[in-house]
Amino acid sequence: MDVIAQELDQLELETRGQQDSVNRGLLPPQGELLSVLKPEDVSIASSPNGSGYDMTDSLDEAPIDLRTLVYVSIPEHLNCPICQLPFINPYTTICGHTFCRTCILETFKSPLGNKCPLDRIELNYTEDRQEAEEKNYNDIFPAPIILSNITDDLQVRCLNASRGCKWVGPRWSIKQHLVNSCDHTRFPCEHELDNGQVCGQLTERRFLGEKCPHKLFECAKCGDNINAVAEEHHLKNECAKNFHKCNGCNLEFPEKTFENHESYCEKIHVRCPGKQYGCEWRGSREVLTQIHSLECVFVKLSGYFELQETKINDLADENKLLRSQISTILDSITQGKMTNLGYSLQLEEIMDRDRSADPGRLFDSLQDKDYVQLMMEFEMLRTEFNRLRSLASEFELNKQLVTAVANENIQIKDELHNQTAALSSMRQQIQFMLLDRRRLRSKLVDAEVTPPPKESSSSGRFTNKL
Amino acid sequence: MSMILNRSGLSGSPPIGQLSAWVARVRYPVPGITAVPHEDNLRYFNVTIDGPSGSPYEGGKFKLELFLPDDYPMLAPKVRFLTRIYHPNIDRLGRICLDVLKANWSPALQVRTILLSIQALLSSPNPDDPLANEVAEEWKSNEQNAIKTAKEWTERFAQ
Repeated sequence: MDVIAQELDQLELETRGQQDSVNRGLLPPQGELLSVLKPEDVSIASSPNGSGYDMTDSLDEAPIDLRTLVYVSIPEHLNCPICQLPFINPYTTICGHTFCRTCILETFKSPLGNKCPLDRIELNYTEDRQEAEEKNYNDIFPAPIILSNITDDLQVRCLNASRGCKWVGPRWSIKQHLVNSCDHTRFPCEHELDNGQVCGQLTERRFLGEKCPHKLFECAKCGDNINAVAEEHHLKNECAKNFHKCNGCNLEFPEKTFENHESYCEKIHVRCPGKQYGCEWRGSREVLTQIHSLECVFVKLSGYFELQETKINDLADENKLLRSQISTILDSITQGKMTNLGYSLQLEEIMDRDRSADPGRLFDSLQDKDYVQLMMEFEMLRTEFNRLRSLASEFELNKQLVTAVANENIQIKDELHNQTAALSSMRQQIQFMLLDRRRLRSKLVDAEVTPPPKESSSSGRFTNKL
Repeated sequence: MSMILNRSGLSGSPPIGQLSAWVARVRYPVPGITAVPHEDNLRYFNVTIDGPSGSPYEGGKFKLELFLPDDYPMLAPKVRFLTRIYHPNIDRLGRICLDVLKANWSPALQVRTILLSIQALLSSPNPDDPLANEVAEEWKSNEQNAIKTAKEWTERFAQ
């Protein structure tokens, strides 16, 4: 599976190259660009010079821009929220959102910075691989492989659709198709010209053969000088002698004016314009304009039908929009996150507003709105509860500390008590000694003639007492 | 020029497929809002927003211009009112004071959501974060009169 990821990486690098080539002048003219807007039209338009895929480099270096692909149908959930196209090399964030790798990395360079574009959660990311490894950054990582597999299996049209290729296939096989099998991929013509130089003109694969397709020859019908590449276009649009017989009036017209003739030939058989509403009538245009359209009920009702159809389409569009909005809201509820979906007000406020504007219908719409509100209140209470629980445990800890301190306090008090007792006993002893000394001194005064050795003996007694 | 931008890495002109995907998304936004791309510049849109019901702008059709810059969607689209409007967050030149158009832009926001936000701004003016100071003053000091003026302007300019 790594091989696929690598290949996608490579394709992505090539994407830039292709982009350059678009800028270098292969960009289709404005009209083409407009036609790209309606993908369903692309396959119809077939012109030899339409934009498409060219192989100018060697086979290995053929760049394919996956972002220019036209998809047959796109499931909304497989679109990258940034480029709005199906994921190319999807990466998922730690907050659970998925983007194309290039898209999310470009977002990090944009003013938003290293935040998820959907919920603005900070994401750790650095371009420096070594630094990322050191700091163990893994806030964005490749999405589950099944997602790549699903997006790679999406059906796409050939890049050469505007040149007439009708191919439709899974995205993973587009490269193989363009390089190996598409008849409309252009290669440089390798045949030598008369003057010895290589022809070199970009030519679609279907014209490449043993002879140089750019060699001029005379048109079999009108004698103009044409070549193999231009032959088809010439016969259809230019040749004045490529006749085609009209089924209605049995006259012959050159191919280039035939379509024009068909649209006004009076004899040709056409169907009633009310056929889409159920009219089975079929006949020549003459009869249609003069008789049938005047009496056909379906034609008369067609104005009304059209009105109804546009109304139905409008409603279908609105329904689709509401559906997608509901699904985003449900998504955000199941993920436990309410985003404000780009509204300037928080969702809570919007709901409050609805309620205050419409108090009478409160009970009718009790279910959904109130469910959401209750869910949110419940969430709020839960976080509050968690906060309180942590506070309580902190209190418990504090209490233990306080009892420990109190115990220590009692011990210290005891010791203090002992100390005071010891101190008081010492005080008593000192007082006793002082008393003794005073007595001795008075004795000394009484008997002044007493010899000094006696005094020493009394001091010896004093020390003994101590 | 765009080629150089491409090489330097940060966005630059997106490929046509991508641009057309965005354009297709902008073209069919929401009931009450239309956006039509200019014929000669697909990045430039003519937008109309119906004044939301229940607001002083009810019944008005407001014209705006919207431009997707080269760096879109990495940078916000540029939006401006072309129709004159009496609103505390929209100035005389039509510039709009809306967080998602400035600092709070995210590449995952779409033109559709931006236009919806503008419509929501019409139904809930915010005079505490004004762009047109005089209008905001009036809105705070004498709301009834301000709403009356807004209705008059809607009738005069946005019909």
